[in-house]
Amino acid sequence: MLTVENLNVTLRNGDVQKHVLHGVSFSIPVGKIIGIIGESGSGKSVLCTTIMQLFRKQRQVTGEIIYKGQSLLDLPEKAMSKLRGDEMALIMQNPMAMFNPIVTIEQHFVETIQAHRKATKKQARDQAREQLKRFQLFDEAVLKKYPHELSGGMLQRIMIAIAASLNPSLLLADEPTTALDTTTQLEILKELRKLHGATGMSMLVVSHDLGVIANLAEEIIVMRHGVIVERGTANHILQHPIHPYSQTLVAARDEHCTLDELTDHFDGVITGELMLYDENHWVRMETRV
Amino acid sequence: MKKKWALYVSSVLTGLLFLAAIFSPWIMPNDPHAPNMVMKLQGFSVQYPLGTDHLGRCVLSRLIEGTRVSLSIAFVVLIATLTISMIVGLIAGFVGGWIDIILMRVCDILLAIPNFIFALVIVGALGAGMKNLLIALVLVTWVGFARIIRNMVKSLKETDYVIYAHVCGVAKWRIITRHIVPFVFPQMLLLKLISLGTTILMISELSFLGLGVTAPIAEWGMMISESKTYLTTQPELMLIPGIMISLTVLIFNAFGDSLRDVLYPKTT
Repeated sequence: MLTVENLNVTLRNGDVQKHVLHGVSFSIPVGKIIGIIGESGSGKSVLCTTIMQLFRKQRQVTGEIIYKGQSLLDLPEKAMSKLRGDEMALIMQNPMAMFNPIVTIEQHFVETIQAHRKATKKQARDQAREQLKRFQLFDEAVLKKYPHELSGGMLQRIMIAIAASLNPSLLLADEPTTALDTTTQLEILKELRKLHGATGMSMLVVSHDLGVIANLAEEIIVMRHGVIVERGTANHILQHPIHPYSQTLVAARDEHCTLDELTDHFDGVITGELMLYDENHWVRMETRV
Repeated sequence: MKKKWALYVSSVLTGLLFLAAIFSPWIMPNDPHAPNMVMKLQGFSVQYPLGTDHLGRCVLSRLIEGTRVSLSIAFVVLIATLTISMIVGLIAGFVGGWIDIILMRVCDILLAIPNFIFALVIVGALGAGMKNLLIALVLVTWVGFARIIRNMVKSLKETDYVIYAHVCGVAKWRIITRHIVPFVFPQMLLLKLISLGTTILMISELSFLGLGVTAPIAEWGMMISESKTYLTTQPELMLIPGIMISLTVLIFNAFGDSLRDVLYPKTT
């Protein structure tokens, strides 16, 4: 469904340039959940927003992003805007900041629906209400509320509901649980699993939390400093990580340490070539010096 | 609360000024344009509560007509500049790129010229009259506001909810009307209200120099100018419109300031 080929991204901020993604390639098959794991600064969020083609002016992108046969990099902004929210949706981290404080939840729904479907306000409102019923979480009173009246977990669920309201074929979730507390995190994960079960949409879940990825993904991509370190099925990577960096990540989960504590243990430079290690399992082979 | 008290008083006084302006034809005791040479330069009386000027016209009636003229010009200027600066600021801030650069350079050039002198030049070139006065005031005052709006839009564009709206595929004009204008407009309206006093002062200044409102329409600045010759014998002819100008500017400033204090308590 989505193929990313040799993607290089450079962020431009005035005269400062920063190369954040180096030759990233992977693909998301129809109906699968792919997880990307990596510490902060490994370029996960940049990858998501580049797939959505946001911040086009500030970024220099080479390579290919092919969605259903069309190259997103060549797609004009107008056509891209049609895809966003309709064909492909993005759930972002920090839901508390994502909603306009002076606009009700209902209007947020209506706005997204009306951006893509020819619907009157009333039809859009009805659709929003139906969407809420589908998620079986809220009574209708939520629709009339303003973002500050709701908790972060609620807002994240609403963001998922809005993202799902137009039945996108691809859902990108950028750190969907990071800003939330542990119990809410579990509920959000349940929500995403349910959504995947009900619609079979392809998903790309990005997180720095291996627990989240292990819970959802069928295939895992390990990223560090903008390169893919290891890529393979979830079972392979969780049970037999090959690359030393992946090993530290998995160890971090087993020992219940925070990621930051443990990734510091791995300070090797990643230089090796990405090679096929096993069926569907790619690892960057380090040549030890 | 002290702040609220200031708002109540100043809004009542502002309301009175606007009422006087709207109902001026009915509350004027005499025809402000009708000369009565027999009664010229009279003191206060029952028929002419504030006396008469050098042509025997009722000072109070002219004062009331002046209110109407000043307020209506100031109001039209407010709406016109708000519209122009909103459009320019939104385009420059939201579109960015070379359009932004060009528009902001134009603003820089206009800002470099002192306001009053610029207005003088425009009225001087176009000729005196209410219409040209309006044009001059609008041309002079939109610039600063366009800059402020542009900067506000630029920072609002970076907020998470605008990015989120992009993510949802919401069209650009819709993002502007839904997520940017509602934040910019109230603050701009407030700033414009605060600057209303300055506009009124400028109308009077230009009229005093004979470049603004033309006779026979009464205007405060013009009334002062007309009564210059009688400064020693009848100082109240100059004092009364002078006090009126100061009071109006004071009331508008107090109204704008106290409104801001109540609406945006943190910013003060």
